[in-house]
Amino acid sequence: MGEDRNGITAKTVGELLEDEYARSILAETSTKPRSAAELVDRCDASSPTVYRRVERLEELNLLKSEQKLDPDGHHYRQFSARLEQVTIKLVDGSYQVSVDRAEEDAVERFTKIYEGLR
Amino acid sequence: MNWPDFTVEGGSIAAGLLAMSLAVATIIVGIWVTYVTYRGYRQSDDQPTLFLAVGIALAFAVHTFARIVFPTVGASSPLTDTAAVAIQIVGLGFILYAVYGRPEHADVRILGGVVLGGVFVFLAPIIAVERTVVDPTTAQDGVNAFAALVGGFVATQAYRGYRRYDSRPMLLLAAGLLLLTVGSFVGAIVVSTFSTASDAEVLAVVGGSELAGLVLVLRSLTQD
Repeated sequence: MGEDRNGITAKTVGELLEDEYARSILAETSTKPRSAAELVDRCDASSPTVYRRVERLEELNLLKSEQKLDPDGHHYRQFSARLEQVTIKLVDGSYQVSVDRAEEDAVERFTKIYEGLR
Repeated sequence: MNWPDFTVEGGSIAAGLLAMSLAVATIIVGIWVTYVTYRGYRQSDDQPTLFLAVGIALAFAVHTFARIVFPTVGASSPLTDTAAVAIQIVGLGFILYAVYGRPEHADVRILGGVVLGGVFVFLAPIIAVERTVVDPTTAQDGVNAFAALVGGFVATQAYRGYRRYDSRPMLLLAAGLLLLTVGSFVGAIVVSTFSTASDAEVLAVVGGSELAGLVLVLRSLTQD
């Protein structure tokens, strides 16, 4: 089966589309970056549910997170959707999945490569 | 940076010994950094990491090594200093390429460009001095300033990585980069301009700044 480079297969796409919370988390974070608390509110889900979905979506590189500082000096994470388009093609008896994602910027790339070097 | 000739005059024996031990420590930490980046590359085995690893090894370890070893084998100082800084600039070029380029489809032309850029940085001041367009100190300061500028930019990007992802390694990298490029440059200028320091003392300031920078980079690569 034709996999995306983050291991997304036609089956994964099906699962994600079926999952109400994964769907709405992606939709909510595509308009502006949201914190986990905001997602709990807007998606009408419990916080463990949101965290589970967020973790899964990050694994598939469909969601990215940034560290933010609130006015009290606490760190919290903000999520934004990286997903732009999914195409599934049926070629010669197998499904080929390709995912277009929002490009990562230099700072993100630098951090990722450098942490990979450790 | 601005490393004067190793056979310094006008410094006390104590200052000379200090510079000597700084040099030895710098070489050891430099080899260590190179080893850690090599191991990191072997683990991940992808192109961007390779370019970053080579860049770090050149800009930090090979650069400091060249600064110490070239003068001790007797080559003249402005030339060796420029060579060492040219190596640093090529290394920074590799790092920038790993981040901004597309190393997944590594292009020989771009690599050639980086190396040619380094050769240019090395030759331009020498030619300028030969033709008596500028005096040697100005040419040397110019090259150092350029390296400090590029180093400062890379350090800023690393610092932004720390702010955004709360990544401690990126903070240490930013601080190390700053000391290795901007710190040693500004330090040497300040010490030699505003005090009557001997060559050995300037050397100790530059060497100390570069060693501290290397240690921070090493920490950023090894700390859990």
